[in-house]
Amino acid sequence: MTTQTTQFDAIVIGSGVTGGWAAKELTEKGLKVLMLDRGRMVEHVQDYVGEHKKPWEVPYRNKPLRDLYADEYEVQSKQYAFDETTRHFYNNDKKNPYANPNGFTWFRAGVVGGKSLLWGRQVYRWSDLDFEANKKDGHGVDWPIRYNDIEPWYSYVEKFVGVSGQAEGLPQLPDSVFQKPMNMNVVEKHVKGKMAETFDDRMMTIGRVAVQTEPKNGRGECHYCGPCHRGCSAGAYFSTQSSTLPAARATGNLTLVSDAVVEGIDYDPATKRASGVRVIDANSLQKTRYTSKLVFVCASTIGSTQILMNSKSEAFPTGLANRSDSLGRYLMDHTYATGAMGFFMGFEDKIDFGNRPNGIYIPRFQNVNGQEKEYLRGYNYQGGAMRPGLMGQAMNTPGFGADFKHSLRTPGPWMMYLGGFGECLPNKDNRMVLLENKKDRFGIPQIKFDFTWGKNEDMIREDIMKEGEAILTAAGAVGVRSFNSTGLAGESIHEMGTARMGRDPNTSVLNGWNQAHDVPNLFVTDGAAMASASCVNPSLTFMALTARAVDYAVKQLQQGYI
Amino acid sequence: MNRREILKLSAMVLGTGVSASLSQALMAGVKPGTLPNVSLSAEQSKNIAMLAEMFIPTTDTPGAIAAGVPEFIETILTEWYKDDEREIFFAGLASLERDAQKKEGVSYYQASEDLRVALLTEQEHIASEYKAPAGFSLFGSKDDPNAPFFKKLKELVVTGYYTSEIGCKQEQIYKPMPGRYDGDLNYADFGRRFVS
Repeated sequence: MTTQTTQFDAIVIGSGVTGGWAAKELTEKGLKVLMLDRGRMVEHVQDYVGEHKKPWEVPYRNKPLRDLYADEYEVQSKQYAFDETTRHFYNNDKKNPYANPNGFTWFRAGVVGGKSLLWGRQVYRWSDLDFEANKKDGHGVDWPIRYNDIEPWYSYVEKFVGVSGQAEGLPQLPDSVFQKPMNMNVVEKHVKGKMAETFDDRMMTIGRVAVQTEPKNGRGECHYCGPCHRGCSAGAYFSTQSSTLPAARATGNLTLVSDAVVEGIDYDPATKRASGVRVIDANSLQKTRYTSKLVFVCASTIGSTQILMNSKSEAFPTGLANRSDSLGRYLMDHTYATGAMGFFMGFEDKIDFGNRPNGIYIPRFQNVNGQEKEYLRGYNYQGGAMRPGLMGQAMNTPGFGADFKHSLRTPGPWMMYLGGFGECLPNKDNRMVLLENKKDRFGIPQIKFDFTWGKNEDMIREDIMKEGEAILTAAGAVGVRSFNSTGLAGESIHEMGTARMGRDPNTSVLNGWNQAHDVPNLFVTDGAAMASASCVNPSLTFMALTARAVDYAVKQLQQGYI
Repeated sequence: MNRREILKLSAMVLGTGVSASLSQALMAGVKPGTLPNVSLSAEQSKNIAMLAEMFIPTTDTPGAIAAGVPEFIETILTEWYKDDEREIFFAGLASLERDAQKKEGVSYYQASEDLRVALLTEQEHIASEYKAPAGFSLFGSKDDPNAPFFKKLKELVVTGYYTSEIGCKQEQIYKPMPGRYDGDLNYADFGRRFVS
C-alpha cells in the first residue's frame, strides 16, 4: 500500500450520473477533486466504437455471441441495450461476479461514465406524493426532505442536463425546465385524445427525456438516429462524458483515475471522519490510499453500499456509518415488464420517420387524491405506438419469393404497448449482504442479494394489467392483451435504498443532506440514499440531491463544521 | 378483425408459445455421426445460394445473391451455429438434394423451378407444425436452436438481406441520420420501410 501524498479536498467514488455531478459541482466551487472509477476509461466521441455502425458492419449482423455472453456476460447480456455495439461499456460478469445472479439482476457498467452512457434517459421530478408517502402509510422512515427542499435543485440540474418534455401542470408529476417536446405519432395522439374523452383521472404526455431537442450547453440536438446507448458524439443525450466531465475538467481542478477499485474507506475514531480511501488498481492490483477532506460515494446503489459494508472498523464493525443496521437493507426496484398491448386498425396509411429515443408517459393516477385502492401507492405507464419490426413480421408471413419480398415493404398494423412501473415498498428483509468467505479477484467480499416482491407489488401488477387493458380498449384497440413479468428485481435498473436517508440516526444512514449521521465528511448521493422508491424514474432526483449535497458540504467545510 | 387475425397479429409481434419438436422428423435419414464437415461442399453452397434467391429474388430491386446473403449464411453456418443447429440445417439441405436427385436426377439448384418450389413448400409445411418453446419477447423472436430447417433458413435469409447494404439502401429507405421524428407521414408517398 502506497499513500498518495497529494491532498485532495474531495474524493468522488464513481463517475456515473451522480459521480459526474459531484465532480462538476465540487470542482466548480474550487475544490481539488479526485474522481475514481473502477471501470476503464471511455473518452467522449473517440471511444464510441459502436456509434452509427452500419447494419452490415456489425459482426454476425448483431446476432448474439452466445458462448461468450453465457460465459462472461451472464447477467449483462439480458439487458435490452446489450449487443455487439455496446458490449464494451458493460461489466464483465465473469471477472466481476456477485454471488447469486438468480436472486437479483444487477445491471452495471464497466467503464468511466457508468450507466450514464447506457441509461434510458427518462427524467421526471418526484412530488410530495412521493416524499410524504412513507410518513403517511408507515412503510419506511419519513423522508427528511420535501419537494420544496429539492425543487430549486431540480431546476438547477435540468437546465444543464437538457430535458425535453411537455409542461402539464400536474401536482403529482411537477414540470421540469423543458426544452421543446418530442413529437407523438399518429396513434399516440389518437390514444391521448380518446383518453381525454373517456377518463377524468388519467392522461398521456410525451416522455420527458434527457435528450436535447435544442442545441444548448455546448451540446448538439438529437438527430434521431436511435440507439443512444452506443454513445452520442453530438452530446445530445446527457452522460458524464458529454456533460459533467467536460465541465469538471474545464476547471482544472479534476484528477480522474480509472481502473480504480475502491476496497474501502478508512475511519478515524479520533476525528470521527472518513480519513482515507483505499484503492486497488484493477490491472496491476497495486494498492494506493488517497486522503481528502470530503468523500462523496457515488458508486451506484449497490456499489456504494458494498464499499461502505466493506469498510469495517472498531467503531463500525458492520460497515461504515452503520449504527442503525439499516445499511444494506430496504433495497427497492420498480415492478417492470408488466402491462398491456393492443392493435390500432385504420392507420395503415400512416408511417413514422426517425428513431425517437423516447416514448409516451401516463402519470400515476391511482391513490393520488387519498388512499382509494386496496394497495398502497401507485404506478405509471411508459410505452409507445409503433408498427412491428421487420423480423417478426417476416417470420409470420408465409411463403417465399417476390410476393413475400414485396409484402415486407409494408409494415404490419400499428400496435401500442403500455408498460407499468410500480412502486416497491421499502422492506427491511430485501437486502444485500457481503459474503466474507466468497471474495472476488480483488479480495473484496461478493454481494449476495435477498429480495422478494411483496403482496403490495403483486396487487400493483394486477392493476397495471387491468387498467392498461382498460385504457387501450377505451381508445379502440383490438387484440388487447396484458402481460406480466414477475421477474427478478433489478430488471427495471431503478435499484434504490440500502443506505437510506432519514431523520433518526438510529434508523437511517444519512441525514437530509445525504450526509452520514455519524461521519460528517462522508456523503452518499446516489440511489443508495433513497428512503422510498416512488414509481417515478429516479435518476433526475439522484442528480438534484447530489448538487444539493455538494452545496451543503462545501458550505459546511468553509464554515469549519466538517 | 376476427379472432384468428388478431392472434396472427399478436404472433407477429410477440412470438408464440407451446412446445413440441419436429427436428426428429427432419432428421429422418440422417444417421448419427454423419454430421457434414463444417466446410461446405460446392453443391451445398450452390443450393444455399439458390434457396436464398428463391426467398428474396431479384425483382425491381436486387435479390439475395446480389446482397451477399449466401456468404452471410455460410458464415453463420460455419462460425456461429452450434453442432445441433448445423445438424438440422444440413439435414434439411440434404433432404432437398436427395429429393431433387430422386425426381430429376440433378442437384437441387439445377432442378426445375416447379420442383424446387414444391420441395421448399414441403419444408415450409413441415416447419409450420413446429411450435417454438414459450418465451415472451415484445420485440421479436429470439434464436431457437431447435427451430426446423425452413425457419432457420428463413431467419438467416431475412436477417442477411435486410441488414445488407443492398437490402438497406435499395430495398428499404436508408436514413442513418433522420434529423427529426415525424409520426404522421403517408406511407403511400414512400412505399417502403425506413431503416437506419
